[in-house]
Amino acid sequence: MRRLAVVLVAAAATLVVAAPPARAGSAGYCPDARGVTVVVDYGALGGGTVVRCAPGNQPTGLAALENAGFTVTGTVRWGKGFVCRIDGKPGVDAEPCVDTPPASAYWSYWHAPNGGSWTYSSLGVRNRKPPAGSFEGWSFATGSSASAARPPGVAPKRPETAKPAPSRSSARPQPPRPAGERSTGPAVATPPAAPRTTGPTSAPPPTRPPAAAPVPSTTAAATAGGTPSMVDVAAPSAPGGGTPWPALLGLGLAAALGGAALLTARRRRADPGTG
Amino acid sequence: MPVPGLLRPWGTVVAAVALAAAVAPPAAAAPSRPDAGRAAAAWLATQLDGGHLTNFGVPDWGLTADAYFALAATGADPAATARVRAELAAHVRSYTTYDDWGFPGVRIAGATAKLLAVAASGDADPADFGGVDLRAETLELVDGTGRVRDRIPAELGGDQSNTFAQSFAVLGLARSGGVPQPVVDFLVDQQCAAGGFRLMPDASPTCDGQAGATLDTDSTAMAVQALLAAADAGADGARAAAEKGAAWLADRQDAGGGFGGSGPTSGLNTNSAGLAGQALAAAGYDEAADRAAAWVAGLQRTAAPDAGAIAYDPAGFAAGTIDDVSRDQWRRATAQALLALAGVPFGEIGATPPPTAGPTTPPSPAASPTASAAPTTGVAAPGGGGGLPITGAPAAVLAGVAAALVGGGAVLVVAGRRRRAP
Repeated sequence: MRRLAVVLVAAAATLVVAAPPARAGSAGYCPDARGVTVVVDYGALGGGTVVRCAPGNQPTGLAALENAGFTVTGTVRWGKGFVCRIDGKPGVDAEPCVDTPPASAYWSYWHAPNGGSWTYSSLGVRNRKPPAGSFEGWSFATGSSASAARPPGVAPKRPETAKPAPSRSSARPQPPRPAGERSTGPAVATPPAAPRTTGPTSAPPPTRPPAAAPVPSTTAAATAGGTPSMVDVAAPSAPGGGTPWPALLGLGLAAALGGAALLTARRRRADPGTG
Repeated sequence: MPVPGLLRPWGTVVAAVALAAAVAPPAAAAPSRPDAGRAAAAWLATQLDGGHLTNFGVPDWGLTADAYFALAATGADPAATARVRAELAAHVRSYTTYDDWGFPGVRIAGATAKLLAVAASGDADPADFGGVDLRAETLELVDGTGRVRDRIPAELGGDQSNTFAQSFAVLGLARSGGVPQPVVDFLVDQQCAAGGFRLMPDASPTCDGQAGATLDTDSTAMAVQALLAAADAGADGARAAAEKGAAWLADRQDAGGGFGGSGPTSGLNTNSAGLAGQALAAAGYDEAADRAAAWVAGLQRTAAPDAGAIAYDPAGFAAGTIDDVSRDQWRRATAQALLALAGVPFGEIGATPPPTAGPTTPPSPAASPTASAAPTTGVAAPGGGGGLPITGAPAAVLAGVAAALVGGGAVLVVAGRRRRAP
């Protein structure tokens, strides 16, 4: 019984990006310097940028990512020493996660102090201990033969507690607004028009294996704008109604709630006897 | 053998190394800090889990191969060197294929070529390394353009071969009987007019054909050394390209002696400085190589615990002691950084006498019996023209002689050395 419930909840959790109860961590920025804020920018994978908090001390980047509530899939060769999927992305059809993913499509790993700027990590996900109050960033890098990794499309800065977030953003992990609404900041995630295979048009640090970027590495337009106000999910990767992300999210949320309810119910029933 | 340009007399150096190796591990003739290098390698040996290094519990064969080069270049711990080599030989398929995970038929070019370079840098037999003919398998992965490519189905990730794989192929083939000229030419094509090499060859056939190609320190350092080995084996155009690459590297050196990589690794780091310093030593830039070695040595721990370990960068060094989280980075950094301290080029690591039948053995053109996909033209083999022999026996002969070597070591060592010296 219990096993079934766990499976159900696990299944629900993978459907959801901002699942409330079943997930570790909390949605949005860490409220203070006692946690590590984790920013995941799905880029061309779709799904916008998600900000979550791993509360308390985090021994490694991997721990922070998981304790913030993200599901991590490693590779067959390296296990979770190499982050291959975050919350199931990219999917198995696009990336088998057997060996190290190619430089043309992989999760790039960044870090930043609060209020600082993103730095590409020279350390692996298990090699780095994020300082308390700092930011960990994950940005899916895509490119043709050799891509240009760009930092996550959210500035690494905790919002001032006194200052309310500007207009549209929601600090709560609620189902977002109807499809079509994007974050208020300047284009944050993927450049809308860029086809998937050519990768981002702006290229701050090139790829992890230092690579020849076919992309003219002009300015970091995508990240130059101030602090985008998105908190949990924002910026659908396609302009207009590309992905009905918010709708999916709502569905996922419902599924998660349902799963949790189921779990609770079954647990109650199972509690007395079964182990 | 006179060497044009800035390159130092190669044959003399090889001979000197070989002679020194008769009583001791290969001493570097180039500027170096052998004591610091040995200390680093000795520390690395303490990090071995049996005969290999791990990445958070997972055997890391690529890193283990780096450790082999590090140990062999310094001669710090012959027993550990032999142990690591035996471990690599026992796990060839774990590294070069996906067999361990139930995906048959995969071949990884970089892993195959790197192991060939390991097998060709010591007493091992490149044609029978743990039962695998690495020379033949490397040649099998050469495509019609001279490039070594992975054989990985698209659904498992596809070909991801790069310039590092090509360099190891050139190096390993040159040291195991000769390298087909197209394999050398493809590597040279990855060099831009400025002299640096790019890491990723996919964007265009040649580096100059790619607008804004990123030139990479580490790739250039590897290519320079591979091409020097190829030049010694008689390949055309290799030495000129190596000299141009070395000049580019020298220009990239920081005032303090260090090197950065490219892109995300562009900060000064000992990985890049280790390879670049080694390449500069190989190309005769003694003063620049010495400054690189000095910069690396400045990031080496000299006190217990972990004396000898080399940090990745000044920040890592400043962090002080090594904990469980940071240890992996120190291992990776040390294995490559100490190459600058040792000052022994890849083409000379483990330059004990090659397993060969004798001075009259002819060079072997296209030694691979199964190289259907391999170019069959213009194999640059050692021993011809003016090139000093690096190795030079047909694979079949190598196999037999290797067995003899294992048994009767010392006599053959001396004999082989006589052959090596001019």
